[in-house]
Amino acid sequence: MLEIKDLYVGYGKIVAVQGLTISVPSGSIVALLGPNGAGKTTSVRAIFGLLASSSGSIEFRGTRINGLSTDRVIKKGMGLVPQGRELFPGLSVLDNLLLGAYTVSDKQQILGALDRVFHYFPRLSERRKQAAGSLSGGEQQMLALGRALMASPTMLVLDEPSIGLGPMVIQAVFEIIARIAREQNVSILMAEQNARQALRIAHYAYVIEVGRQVAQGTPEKLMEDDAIRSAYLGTEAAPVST
Amino acid sequence: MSSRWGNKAWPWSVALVLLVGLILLPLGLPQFRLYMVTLALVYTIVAVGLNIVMGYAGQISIAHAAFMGVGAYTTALLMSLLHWHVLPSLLAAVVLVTLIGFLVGIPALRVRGHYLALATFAFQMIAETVIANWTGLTHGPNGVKVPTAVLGPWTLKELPLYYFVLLFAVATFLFSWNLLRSRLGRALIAVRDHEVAAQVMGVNLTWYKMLAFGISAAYAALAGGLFAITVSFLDPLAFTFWESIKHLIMVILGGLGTVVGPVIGAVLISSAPELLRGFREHSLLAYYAVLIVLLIFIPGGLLSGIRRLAGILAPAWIGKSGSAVNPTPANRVKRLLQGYARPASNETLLEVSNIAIHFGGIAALEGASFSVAPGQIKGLIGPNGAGKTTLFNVLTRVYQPSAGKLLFSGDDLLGVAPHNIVTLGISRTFQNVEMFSTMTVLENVLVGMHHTLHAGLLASGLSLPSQRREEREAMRRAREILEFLDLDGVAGAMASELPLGIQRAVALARALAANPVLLLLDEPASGLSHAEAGRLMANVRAIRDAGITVLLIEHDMRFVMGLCESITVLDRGEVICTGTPAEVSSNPRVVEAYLGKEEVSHAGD
Repeated sequence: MLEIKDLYVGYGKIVAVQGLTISVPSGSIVALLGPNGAGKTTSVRAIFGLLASSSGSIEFRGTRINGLSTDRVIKKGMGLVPQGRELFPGLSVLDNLLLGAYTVSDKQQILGALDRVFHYFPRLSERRKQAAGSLSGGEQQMLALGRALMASPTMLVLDEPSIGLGPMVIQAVFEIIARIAREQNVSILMAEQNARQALRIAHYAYVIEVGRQVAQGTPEKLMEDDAIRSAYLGTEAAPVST
Repeated sequence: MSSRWGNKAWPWSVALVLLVGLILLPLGLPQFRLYMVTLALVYTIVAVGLNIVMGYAGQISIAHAAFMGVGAYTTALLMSLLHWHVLPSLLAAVVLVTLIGFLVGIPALRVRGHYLALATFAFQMIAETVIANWTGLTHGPNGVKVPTAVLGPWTLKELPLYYFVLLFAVATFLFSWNLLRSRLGRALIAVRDHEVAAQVMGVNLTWYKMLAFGISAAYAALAGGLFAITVSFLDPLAFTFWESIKHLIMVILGGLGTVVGPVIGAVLISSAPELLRGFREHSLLAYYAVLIVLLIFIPGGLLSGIRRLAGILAPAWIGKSGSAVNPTPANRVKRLLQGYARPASNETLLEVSNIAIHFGGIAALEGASFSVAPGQIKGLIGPNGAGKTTLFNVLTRVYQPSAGKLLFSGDDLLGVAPHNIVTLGISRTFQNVEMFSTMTVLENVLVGMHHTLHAGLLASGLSLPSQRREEREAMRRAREILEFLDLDGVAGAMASELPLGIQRAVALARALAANPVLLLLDEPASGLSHAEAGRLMANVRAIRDAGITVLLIEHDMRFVMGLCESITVLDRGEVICTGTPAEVSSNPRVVEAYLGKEEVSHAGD
């Protein structure tokens, strides 16, 4: 579905992503893990044409999308759930969702998408008239997801979906992400700090550090790697104090 | 120090060459050209002054022609009617207009942005009308003839006048230059970048906005007085609304918020009619066409265009941080923070009783009560929307609760002005980081120190030795704190360009710089990887061991459970449980409302 080969992205003279190569097969969930400053958000921005890549290729369903403007990338069937959600806080939940369908002109299709979003997130239906800014953090993340789904994308890219959410809400959000991938056959690429939760639903994961790819594999394989475990999963650290 | 001032340290040699150039410039210029150059200098004073209110403090003014006009007429009338000497006349004009500036600044306390711009516009129109119609004093459209000023052996005309104006232009420029590099300049920019964060750092928003208007008006008055002497005949047309717009163009075209930009803008705009004379009747058209082209291609102003050519705009942080190769040894950290820590004596440092607050009928907090003991690391957890951040906002007086009491070391916090909370010893970070976005990391930390520094307006503007000593000491301490948090590699980077997790560390540094007794951290581990969160835990422990009490909001349960000695759980605005991590994680209400069964089994790994 999405093939990134040897991607380099920089700001001025500084290269933030150096040789990223990842592949997201159709219908699968792929996690992009790594610490702050590793280049996860930079990669996501490059995919959507929000930053120019200096070399390498980004192919979506077989066609090259480097250099395309953001709206063209969206029209090709990609959805973005940005870091920090970036909702329109003064607009209602419904208006936020309808803006997600901005590129769709078929009214029936919009209504269908709206039904689907409310099916996955009944809470949003209850609060459809409320201002997005007044929702709780978890509801806002659901709205950001719902908004991205409104254009019926074949692929979703999520940047830090768990940030700022309580433990139960994180579980709920990740469960819904997994369900959407399974039931709607949407491929998912998610940049995530919370490696433990991400690996629980991912089929495959890549680990990047300071712009370079350092490891990849299935969750099972990555869990066996001691270095990865101690840096990202921390199963032996942080005991509960008594 | 930062790109705002051009190169790292503007070499003195460059300044000297410029100064000598300005001194030699008028020699051999024909009289008319000399007059134009003198006027250009007058306009640099207005533009540099307008930049203090617009560029630094971020408040719009379209009243500067009026300020200038009142200054000009005051100077001229004092000289012609009362036969005052030029210097006291200028001084009187500056004093009068400064007071008016403060008054015009008062709407700034209540209104912002476009409304404030309209308020200054209204003042402009009033001043214009008064000048044009108070014929008994100003002779209306007939104008006022300005007597030739004499200063000692010099008659202030032509060359002596040029040097007289140059002296003021250089002095006011240096004052503005120094101001920007002082605690006052930082406070003004902090107000522009983020009002709430500035206030939490101890910046009195009201006072600083009025101050900016006052200084700016003083600059305009001085320029007005010098204008009067230079042109020797005043009429109302010189100070219309359109002139105010011209001042705006000078500042924006040159580079809003930079020190040098407005000077470039003022020189260009005031000499544009001359430069474009070749276009004859189309010169006005050419003028605006050039303006559009410049604004499209160099949106940050001419100065930024020059800098971009110099290629110093690339972010400098990448690959420089987060390694923690040489963590600061624990004993040094203790010394670093302890030297400034203020011991808390009471048994309870913070007592929150029955705090309630409503937003449009929705209760965000409903009678929340808990306490924090000195030297404790206390956690505040609960589902999204439980009221945790609201509570921080109540504690730092961003929100006014409808009921309840807050006692901090025995003081009633609800009787304290928001900007004084930090002087009592409470500093905080924000969930959304809220960096001062146009400042470097180091400058952000220096704003955190605002309330611990004392340099006033004169000490800052004149860069007196006491102020420089204080700045050096502040800079040293800021660097120490950055080093402690492994941020020394990014000290010169723009804070807002850093990855979110590193911005969180900067926010912690900024809050520590305020020498808190109680440190409030809002989701400090959010967006950190496991290893980064582990380092942060060690840092928070070191901060507590140095005597600083910590109250933190966090969703990362390993972080909270591993770090906090006591935890209070909020749900829907109410405290549902307070206890040790073990007690809290086994409390059925907490499990049901927040943790979920899965998380409990994991927290017990």
